[in-house]
Amino acid sequence: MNELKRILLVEDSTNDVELILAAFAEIKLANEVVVVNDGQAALDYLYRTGAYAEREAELPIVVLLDIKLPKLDGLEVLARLKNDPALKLLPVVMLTSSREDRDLVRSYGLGVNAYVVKPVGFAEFVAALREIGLFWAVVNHPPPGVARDPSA
Amino acid sequence: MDHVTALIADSRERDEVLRTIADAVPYMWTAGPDGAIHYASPSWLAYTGLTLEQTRSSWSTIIHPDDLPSIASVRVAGVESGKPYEALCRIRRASDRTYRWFITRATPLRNADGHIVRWLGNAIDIDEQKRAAEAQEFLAAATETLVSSLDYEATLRQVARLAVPRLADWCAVDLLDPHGSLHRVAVTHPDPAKEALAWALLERYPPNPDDPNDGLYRVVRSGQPELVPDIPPELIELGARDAEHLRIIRELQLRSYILVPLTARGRVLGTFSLIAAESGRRYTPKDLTLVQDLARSAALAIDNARLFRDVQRSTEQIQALNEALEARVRERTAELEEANQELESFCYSVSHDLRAPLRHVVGFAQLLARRAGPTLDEQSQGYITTISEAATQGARLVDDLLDFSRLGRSELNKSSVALPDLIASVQRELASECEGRTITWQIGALPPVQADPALLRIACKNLLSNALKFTRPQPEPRIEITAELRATELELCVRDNGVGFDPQFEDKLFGVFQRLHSAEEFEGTGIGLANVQRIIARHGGRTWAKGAVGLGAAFFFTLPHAQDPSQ
Repeated sequence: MNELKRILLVEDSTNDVELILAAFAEIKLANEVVVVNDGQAALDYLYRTGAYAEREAELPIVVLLDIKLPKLDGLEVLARLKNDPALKLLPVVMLTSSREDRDLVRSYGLGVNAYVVKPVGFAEFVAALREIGLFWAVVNHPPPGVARDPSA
Repeated sequence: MDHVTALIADSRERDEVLRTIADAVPYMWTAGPDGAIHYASPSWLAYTGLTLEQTRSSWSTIIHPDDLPSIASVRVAGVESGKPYEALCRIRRASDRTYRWFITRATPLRNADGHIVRWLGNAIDIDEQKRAAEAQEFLAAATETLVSSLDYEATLRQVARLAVPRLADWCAVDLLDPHGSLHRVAVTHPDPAKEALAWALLERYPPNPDDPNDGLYRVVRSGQPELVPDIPPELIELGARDAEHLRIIRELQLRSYILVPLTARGRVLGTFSLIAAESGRRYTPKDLTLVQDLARSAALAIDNARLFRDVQRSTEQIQALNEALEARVRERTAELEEANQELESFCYSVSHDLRAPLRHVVGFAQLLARRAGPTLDEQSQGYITTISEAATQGARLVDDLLDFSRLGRSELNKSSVALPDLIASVQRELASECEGRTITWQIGALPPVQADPALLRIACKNLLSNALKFTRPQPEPRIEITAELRATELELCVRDNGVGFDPQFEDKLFGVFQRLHSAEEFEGTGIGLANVQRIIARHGGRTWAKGAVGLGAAFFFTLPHAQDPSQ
């Protein structure tokens, strides 16, 4: 399981981070989860700039992206990624509180791979994350360039 | 005359015969080959008031000065060429010193050798014909002027201009203002200096409404025209305000006048005045008829122009009002758009920021229950459940409120909706609520409607869900859906035999967060019927309910018929 690819979680709410990690634990998803707290940090991580200049080259297998974020919001981060030929194939899942149509419409317009509204109940939350985690981290075959553990 | 010459050989006898003929014909004269007058008929001498001697020496004094040059040249040319000649001119009558129009003709009388021995002349009084022709000409020109423009004051000035000198020496037009005072629009005379004098006189001696001798105001009051063929001197004295005024008026030699009211639709609008002075003209009832014809046309033109102006003003006012209204609508629309924008931002924030903490409460409460549940006593576990449920309810309220707000903001996308299909689909969706119950559905004939399918579905789902919810205590639940086609709308009704409601709270049913039951009795956030009302209102329909406690409830809504079937 050491070879499981990392998941990048972009989330500014520590409560949400904790709930998400608890849910992952619940479903026994063993992938490493890297947490960044704002949009700029997400881009730094993905582009290996700023605080993340020294990280190893491999890209995460999926990015879980909140919409309301400090500095750059999730939609801006999404736009940057999907407009960059080098990163546009990286799977991005919006994971957000918002059920607003315009967020949905804009996200899909920008080329998001999935859009998940965080359910209120913890059981439902776990169920949703189970789907996301299993699909994106385990079932889905990432496009070339987004490395995936061949043994998984 | 050659015939006469041949017949009468004796020259003395011949002269006698000629004189007899000449005396019998009015206005005759004879002259020598050089044009010097030998003889003038008695009637001519009487008309001109000249002796034969005076006629010979100073005939030109009785010709109107304006006509003198032309008649002199025609006469000279005739005498020189020896050919007959004629001329049109005004000749003064001695009796009243007025000039009348004549045609004068001269024919040469020749001897056997062909030499001119005499000129035979006559003059025919054509004054009446000439004046009548001029009057008709004037009337035609004036009428044409009157219908040519809506600027009636300018038109009246033009008409006054046309009236002199053809019809009068002076012409004046005065109009009444709303306060009943006359204002002079025009005064004309062929001589501009005299016009200036008239304006100056008017300023110095304005017409006096209270003076019974003031002709203009008399005509305004009576509405009747006045014709004075000969102005008696005492009338002028009566009209003069002071000695100076009298002197000036006397100098103007006013002789005859016509005053007519300008009347339209039974109202006097002003006066039209013609005065004869130095021309020596004398007005007759015929002239009055003509001037009255003209006054009628003029009054009609004034009235039309004023009506048109009033209509135009009203139109302009309406236009200004419309513009102001449109500006206000634009302003209000902008304000509403701004408010809507703010609401949208607010909802967006609520959607993101208010749901999150509620989710956290539920999430951690449930995590806590999993971790510590087994070690907690029943009451503590109950607390955790309550925390979780309360937060869940809070989140549901937020969601419902956002939905409600969204219903008011989203665009309507109308299309033809098959109600039976829509109801069937809602029933399938609500199947879980029917589990273990035997519900009698009575669904009438439902015509297709024009509506936003998604919104109408939400409305129907709310109503059916309510019916299912409130029939729960009923052992034999029955739900009826019926439609009634009315003139301008379709009325739909969802009726159940559930717990009903107290009719006094009917108004509150459709309010946001208004509930008639406790959450323990019947769950809900109290927003369902508010949504129904909002959706139906957005379609232009109405919503109401009838019911009684324990006797079921009926919810009605209407949908207006589509204006255009293609919409």
